[in-house]
Amino acid sequence: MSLPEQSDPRDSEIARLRAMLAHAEEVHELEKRQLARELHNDFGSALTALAMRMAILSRQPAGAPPAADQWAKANGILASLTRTARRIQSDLRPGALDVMGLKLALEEYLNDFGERNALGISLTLPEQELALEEVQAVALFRMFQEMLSNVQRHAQAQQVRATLAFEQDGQALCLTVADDGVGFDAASHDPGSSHGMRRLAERAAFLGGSAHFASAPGQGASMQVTVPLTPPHSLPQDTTRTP
Amino acid sequence: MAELLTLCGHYVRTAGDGPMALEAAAQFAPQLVLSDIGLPGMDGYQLAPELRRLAGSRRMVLAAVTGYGQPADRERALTAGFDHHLIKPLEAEILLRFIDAQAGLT
Repeated sequence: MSLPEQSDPRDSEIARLRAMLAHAEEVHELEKRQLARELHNDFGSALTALAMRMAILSRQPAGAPPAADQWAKANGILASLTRTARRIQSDLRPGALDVMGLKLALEEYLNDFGERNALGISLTLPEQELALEEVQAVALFRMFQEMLSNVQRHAQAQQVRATLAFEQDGQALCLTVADDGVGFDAASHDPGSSHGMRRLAERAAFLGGSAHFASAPGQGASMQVTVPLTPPHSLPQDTTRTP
Repeated sequence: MAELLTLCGHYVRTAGDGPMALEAAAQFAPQLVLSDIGLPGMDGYQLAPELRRLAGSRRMVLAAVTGYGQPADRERALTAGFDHHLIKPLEAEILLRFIDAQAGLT
């Protein structure tokens, strides 16, 4: 006869962390695969096309009418490559965040997202300045990218509304992305089964916050993350005073 | 690519997907086919054996031009019936030298 095993809360915490780590690795692989696909689809073909245009140009007399046409086509490919490079760069590291702060970075990213996907967009931002830790700003921006990526992949939407707002008397920030797309049955949908939703929930949990999803078939969808705000670290006063 | 090859004196036909390529091949009887792998609907791996079947005993060089550059991708292309596996981005001079090097096409 054996005694029933006592479940140790540390075991379940270890199991939870293991599952999170395994998921993070899986997501990392997926992201690498996505980058490889973009490089293949967008760069490989466009660079090949550009190489062909340049080869055609090198075989035509300068100033001939067909040469002007070839130059225009080559410039078009170059412009498209530049846009793609900027987008991939921004996906990899939100440079705008360092320079302009979260509010303008969200605005720039949403504008570009709307343009690329021919979607109507609206963005509501708080008037107050945000005093965020870098880790919070980066995570909120990443979650915003994730939400929009979900809209792009699943929603078939015409319109996207994004809102960043203070909540809980300014103690928390709430980021919402809502669309008017096909929606899904939120009651029967397991958020853990979707990489995007799971990633959102994990990022929010990492910051001590939470993620919520609301939708119904044909009714659009809404994704919301709420993260608590911690006051930015301040230096002790005496270290900033001159003697 | 088609414009460059035309400029270099080759007769070229283009097709946007697998079924169109088969239709063009049936009329045009190409000596050489350059085909992407990632095609809409019917991919390059499915297209290659169909093109071979269509050509029967006629000599035809089949080359995949693709961004899938891993050794396993090359192996899969050769197994599907491609003679060559060219990787994008592809330089124009390399493409032209490749085409000139194919027997019977110079």
